[in-house]
Amino acid sequence: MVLQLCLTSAIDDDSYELCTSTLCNLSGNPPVLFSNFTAMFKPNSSFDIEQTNSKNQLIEQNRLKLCRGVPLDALENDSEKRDYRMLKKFADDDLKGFDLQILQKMLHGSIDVDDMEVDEEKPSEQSWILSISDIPAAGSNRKVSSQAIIESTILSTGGSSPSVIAFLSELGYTLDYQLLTVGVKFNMKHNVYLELSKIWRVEGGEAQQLTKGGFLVKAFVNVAKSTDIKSINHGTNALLHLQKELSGYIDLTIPDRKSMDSRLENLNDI
Amino acid sequence: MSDRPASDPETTVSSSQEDFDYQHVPAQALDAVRMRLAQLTHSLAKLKDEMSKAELPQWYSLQVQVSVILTQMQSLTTTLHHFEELLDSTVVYPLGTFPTTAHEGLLTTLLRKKNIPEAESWILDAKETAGVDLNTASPEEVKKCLKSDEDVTKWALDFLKQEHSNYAFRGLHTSKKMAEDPSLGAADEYQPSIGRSIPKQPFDVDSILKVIHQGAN
Repeated sequence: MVLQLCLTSAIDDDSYELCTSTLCNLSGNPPVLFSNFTAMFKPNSSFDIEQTNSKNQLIEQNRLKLCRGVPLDALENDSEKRDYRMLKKFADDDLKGFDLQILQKMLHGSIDVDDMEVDEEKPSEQSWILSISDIPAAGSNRKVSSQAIIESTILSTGGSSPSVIAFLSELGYTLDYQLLTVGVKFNMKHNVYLELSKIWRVEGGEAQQLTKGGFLVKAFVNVAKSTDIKSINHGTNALLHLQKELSGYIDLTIPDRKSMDSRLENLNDI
Repeated sequence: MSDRPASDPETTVSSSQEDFDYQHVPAQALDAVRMRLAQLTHSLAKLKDEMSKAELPQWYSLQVQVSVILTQMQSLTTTLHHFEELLDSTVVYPLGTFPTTAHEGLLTTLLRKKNIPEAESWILDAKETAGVDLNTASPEEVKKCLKSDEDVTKWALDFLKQEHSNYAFRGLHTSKKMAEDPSLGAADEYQPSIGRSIPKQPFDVDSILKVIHQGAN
């Protein structure tokens, strides 16, 4: 179980270039371009899941997060050299030149139903990361947000239908929504990571940008054990130090814990 | 230093000796000196305390404190000077009823006329640093020394003023250029661009996080 300490903020599109070079100088490292595809799954409602267990305790239903890195070469097949500047062209919903069908191929094994059983071109050379996150810890005197995340890697789905979506449906989960994140990452001092990212919600072949007009800024530290108080304090101090250093430029704040809750809301019905 | 012990026998003994005539004790002078010394020791203790902290105070706060201490020292010397004659002619002695054997230590401390060894070493140190031997130097030599010190201070101040006037601290031109062409420095050409480079928040972070974690729009 990983404990993620984080602070968030946002910047607008116009300040992106100056911001990246500022952070580049501050960290002493060049920005690392990354892109992730995320599919969120929720418990299949057709199973009529009991909301209490045998001891009459409430069962919290939680979404599952399935995530993997998408090589930008696959999304945009033009063999051009890419760096952090490419993010400037994504001010709108439109993902110019991006082949979003790739994402569906990754999830379903193939988009074409006839191709479904063909095993020769396996898209699952790269493994999926399955994670489930708790609601961030409560408390008014917190200086950073701390969220417990449990993570596992799906190396192989196998079986009669090798797609990851089929694998999860066997576990009782159905696809809820999909996100595509493209951004840059900075390795700051003391194991602090700082990400500037643009996020799209992908539906069918369409993409809708959530972060229109700007970038989501997230500074975080991952602590491997939630019982390692020393590392937690160390990480908290490192984040607070970064917050102090960037104050007046990017004001990093604690996100609302309720907005980082991935549990299903249908529990209110009982 | 001789004035300080004098204030104490007065208070210590007063309870046991009622018929003693206190009217000749220079209470007013002693009290004035005592008050100023109390202020000064308080300020010095505070300064010492702050200097020993891990995080040094801001320079301007130190400067303010030092100037306060200097004012208090000035006030002390003025007061001492004012009562000089009276305090010099005052002789301190214990009353007959003072429990001499029981409080011998206290008595010797109060009646001590020499400086304590610690203070003695400070004075010696200061004298050595000044480079003037007061035992052998004549008053003229001391005066000359003080005068040369004042001269150095004056010269330093003048030099600083002159150097300051040699450079242009504002605008984009050197003072040499401005002397050649007086029209250069007339208008303020430099416009710093502040505020424009600070990023704006184009959206609410919490609502984005909500969509990421819950899919709700």
